[in-house]
Amino acid sequence: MANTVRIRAKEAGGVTEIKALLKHDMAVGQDGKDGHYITEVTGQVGDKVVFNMLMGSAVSKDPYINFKTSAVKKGDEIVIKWVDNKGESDEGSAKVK
Amino acid sequence: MLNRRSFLMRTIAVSAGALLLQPLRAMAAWNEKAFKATDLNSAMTELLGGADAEASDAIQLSAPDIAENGAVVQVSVATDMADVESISLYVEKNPSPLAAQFNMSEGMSADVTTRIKMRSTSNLIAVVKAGGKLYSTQKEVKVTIGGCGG
Repeated sequence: MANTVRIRAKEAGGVTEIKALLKHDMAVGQDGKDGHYITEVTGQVGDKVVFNMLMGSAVSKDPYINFKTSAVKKGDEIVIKWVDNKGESDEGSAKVK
Repeated sequence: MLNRRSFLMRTIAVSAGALLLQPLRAMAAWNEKAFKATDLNSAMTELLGGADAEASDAIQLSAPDIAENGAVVQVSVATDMADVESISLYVEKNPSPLAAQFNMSEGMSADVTTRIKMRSTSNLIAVVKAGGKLYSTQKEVKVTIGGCGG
C-alpha cells in the first residue's frame, strides 16, 4: 500500500496543528464477523511519540484526525503511522511548515 | 474522591484485567474488550476502570445537532483542564459505543477532532480523564441516515 497517509502540519505561535487523512475502508463487521479497520494511530518526531489514538470501526471511512501540540516545531519531520486489526500498517510523513 | 461504587468497579476491573491471558502490553495498547463492549458502562469500565464520570461543563464537545449522514459525523473535544491523560468518545446507541480514545503526550493540547459513524440518533459522550478522575459531557446528535453500513 502506498500513499495512505496525508498530513498537513503548520506551526503558529509555538503550537503546531496537524491534520491527517488516512486512506482506509474502516469496514464494520457483518453477521458476527470482525470488520477490517484501523486500531491505532501514532505520531512521532524522531523517537518521540507526540500523538497516540486508539480507534474502533466506528471511526469513519478514511479517518480524519486533527490535533495540536507544542512538541512539534517548524521544520520537524512528523511521521504518522497506522496499524489495523489484520496487522496491516502504513506510514507517511510531512515537514512542519 | 473515590466513592464506594467506583472503588468497587475499579477493583473489579483491575482484577478482571489481571486474569487476562495476554501479557501486559504498553499502556496504549488497543483494548479489544473496551472497543467490542456492547453498552456504554462496560465500554467505559473496560477502558478507564470505571463508568462513574462527573458531569463537567469544562469540556467542549462540538458536533452537529443534526447529522444528515451518520457515516461521517465530525466531532471535536476540547478542555482547559490540567493533567489530561486521555479523551475518549462514545456513541451510546452504536452496537459498540466506544469510538476512539486519544492518549495525551507531552505538549499536546486537549483539543482534538475526528469523524465518526453513528447508526442512529444518539447521545454522543466525551470522557476526559484528568488527574486520575473521569469527567464527561454529552450531546444528542439526530441522525437522518444511519452510518454503520460500511
